[in-house]
Amino acid sequence: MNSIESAVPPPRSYLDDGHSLRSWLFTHDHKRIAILYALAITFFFFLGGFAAMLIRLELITPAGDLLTADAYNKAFTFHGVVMVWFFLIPSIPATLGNFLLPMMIGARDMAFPRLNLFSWYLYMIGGLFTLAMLVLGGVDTGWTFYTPFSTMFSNGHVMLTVVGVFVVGFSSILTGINFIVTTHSMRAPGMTWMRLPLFVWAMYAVALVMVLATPVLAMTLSLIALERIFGVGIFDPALGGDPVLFQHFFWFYSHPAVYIMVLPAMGVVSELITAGARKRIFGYRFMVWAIVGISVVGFLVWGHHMFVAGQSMYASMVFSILSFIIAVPSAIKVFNWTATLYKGRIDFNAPMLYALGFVGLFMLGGMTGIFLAATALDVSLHDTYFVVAHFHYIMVGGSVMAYLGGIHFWWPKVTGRLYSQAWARFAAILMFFGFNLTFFPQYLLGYEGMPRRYHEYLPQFQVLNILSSAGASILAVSYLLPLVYLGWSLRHGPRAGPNPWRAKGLEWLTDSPPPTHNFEVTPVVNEGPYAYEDA
Amino acid sequence: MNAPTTSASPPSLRLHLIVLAALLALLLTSAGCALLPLGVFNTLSALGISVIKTLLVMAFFMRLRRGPPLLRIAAAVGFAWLAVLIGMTVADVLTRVVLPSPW
Amino acid sequence: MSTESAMLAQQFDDAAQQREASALGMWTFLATEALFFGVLFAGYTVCRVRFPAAFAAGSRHTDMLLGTIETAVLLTSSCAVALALRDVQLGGRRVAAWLLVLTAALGLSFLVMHGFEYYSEYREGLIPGIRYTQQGPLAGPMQLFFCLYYFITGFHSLHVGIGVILLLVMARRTWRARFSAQYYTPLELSALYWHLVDIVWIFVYPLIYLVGRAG
Ligand code: HEM
Ligand SMILES: [Cu+2]
Repeated sequence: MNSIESAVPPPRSYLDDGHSLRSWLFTHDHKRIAILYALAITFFFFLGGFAAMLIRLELITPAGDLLTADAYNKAFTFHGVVMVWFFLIPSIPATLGNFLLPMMIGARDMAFPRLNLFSWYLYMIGGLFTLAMLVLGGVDTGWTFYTPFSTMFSNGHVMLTVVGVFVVGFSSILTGINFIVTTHSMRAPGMTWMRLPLFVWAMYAVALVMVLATPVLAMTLSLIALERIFGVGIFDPALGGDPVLFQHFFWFYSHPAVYIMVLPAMGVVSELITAGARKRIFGYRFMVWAIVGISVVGFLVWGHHMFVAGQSMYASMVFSILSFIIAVPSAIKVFNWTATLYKGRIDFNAPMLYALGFVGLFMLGGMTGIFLAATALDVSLHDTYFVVAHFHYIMVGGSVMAYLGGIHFWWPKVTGRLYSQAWARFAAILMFFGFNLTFFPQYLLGYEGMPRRYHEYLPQFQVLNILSSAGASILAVSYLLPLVYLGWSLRHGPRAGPNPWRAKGLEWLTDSPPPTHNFEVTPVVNEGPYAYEDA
Repeated sequence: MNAPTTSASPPSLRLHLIVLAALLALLLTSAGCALLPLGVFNTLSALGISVIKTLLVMAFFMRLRRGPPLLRIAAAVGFAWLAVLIGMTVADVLTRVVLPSPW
Repeated sequence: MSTESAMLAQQFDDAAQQREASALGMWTFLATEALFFGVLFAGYTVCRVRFPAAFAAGSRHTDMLLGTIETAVLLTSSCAVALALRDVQLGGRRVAAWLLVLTAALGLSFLVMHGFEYYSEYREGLIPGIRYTQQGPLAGPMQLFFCLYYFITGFHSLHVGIGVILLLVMARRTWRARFSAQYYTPLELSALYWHLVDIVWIFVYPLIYLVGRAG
């Protein structure tokens, strides 16, 4: 058993350590910073969701009646930019990661608490630029900023957007540096690498990706900005420059970025499944190597976004093969989660339902990724709704489900309160159905050839589009529900106690909510993670 | 309080000056090589010398030679990832079907 | 109470852990800097592979002598900051502070020399988008060379400028005995940053100034 020896009365919880606004805005406590992040990304999630509602409303009819072509372009661009950089990339790392990483390794705080707070401020500054872009009239390049449109032709607020994303990029670089250093140098005595919970491994791997990919995005965005200011640049075809070069740089960041969005989700789900099945994770070492493998190989496949962009066919062949290979570690993880569930005493509580939802939807999204990685098939599927469905299965079906699962799992730890299981289960199930109704029709639409990013479409696509929009409204309800019952639990929920799930892991050894410095005595670790009795 | 952490004593003044002299000599060598018609070896020698200079700075001025291996890994990873970016991008450009220039 | 224990942040157990963490954090940051500049070098490589003649012609327009002197200046400044750190580690203060001032001065002189280069290029009409008067078959792709030249040296000079300020702050702190043989982490990190700026330039020099010089 992991142990903490203590006799003194428990110190104040981090929530009671000052109630003024100042005590929040200038805090160095990783747990409070996590909450600041949670509030901010929730705001951006619903803002981005509002843009999505506009898109789905427009697509109910084949004619472009609700939004003009221009307004539609701005809606999907805003949706993409906000959801990718202001919600999904920071989602799990900046909230659950910030809160849990030090606790899971038995540390008092991050290695660089001030840097941690600074990264939140950077996030907020980037967010302000993005809001300014919205208020002043939006931008129409798509979240991918492809040149030469973004540099030469678009008359939206490209500069504001690019600056916003640049700044928020540095926020994620700083978070990444903090995570890497914290994992290396702040582990409690006895917490060896092979005793780290998989969530910590996932945070470490994602930090590596943030640190190694984001600078490339930052410079690429700077190049766009400079090209817009001076009217010349290396992506300018008139000078002999190469727009495809932009795509290389962009996807060198953005493919790894999709793993920034999904690796943390895998970490969360590994925790939820072991705790919910009351079993040791199956194949811990395989899981670790799969995480590390994904984060490394994830850097070698970016060209699969450029099969029809004028990339050389030899490069396409190599990128295609490497993309098939990267599915292997993902598959290993799915098998191991399934094997962990096998013969487990599964408690179908809300976190578990979210986790199961993740596994199923991630699998569908990943498998269609393989379709797209086949060059011949991609020629007809590229830039259709099939791609849209593919990445929404992983990013929304997978990562958002896992994020909410994690929130439900650690809510008692974060707030000290229990919420209504019945409502939470209902929301999880509703989300699963709403999600599939929204996005499964999009696979079919894409397969039949409906292109993405247009505000009009051929009449024969209407039925499936109506289904999709109907699903989206269910999805919206299921996202609003947790606000209600989790918010309610803050005042009226029963006290949680240190370990309501009887889960393993250092974070459950301390009080809920934890004291400011997490542990009264630094814990000593003498066994691996997930030491469930009936394992 | 804990015992003060004495990291290994810093390299000598002499060593610093020798490294600086080597760096300046390499600088002149690369300038000289650039003036000779060596074909592709102009580029190769210039880059080779830059790599050597970098290694000298990292090993001695930045103290990686006696530093913890983890720091060496961190330094190497940055360059390795950069090599991937440059390598795979150039591989694409080199194997593309040539498109005629607009002039 | 030594400076060292006063400087120990609450989240760390001891000074060794704190030092190790700071060093790793800085090196990780340096890796991100390498990739940040790396994009420009990648763009350079791709464009040069496609237009070798234009790049050679562009490079011949730059000032090789000044470029070489600038390189020597930065290399020397790197040595100076390394010696400053060494002095502090051995318990010194004044020499270290002056060495840091010297480093900053060298950095500043680098910026001034670069300013002169930019000015004469402006007069020659070599700045795409602002004043570009070149004619002839290579004039088009030569603009790519010059775009890259300004982007790379511009970002680099920005880093030099930040470095100069950082070094002056460190000189002041050293002078006021904020560091000792036991505690010198901020100085060490600033020195690392300065070396990185130097390393970037070590690659800029041959790629910008030395192409197509022979014959
Ligand atoms: C099993 C591994 C995966 C493979 C083989 C794969 C493959 C692909 C391919 C080939 C495309 C390009 C389709 C096209 O534009 O024609 C694509 C697009 C995309 N994928 Fe994946 N993918 C995988 C996993 C993921 C994951 C885990 C995520 C996100 C968390 C993701 C997010 C995206 C996004 C956002 C796009 C579209 C970007 C855009 O054009 O706007 N993919 N994927
Ligand atoms: Cu991809």
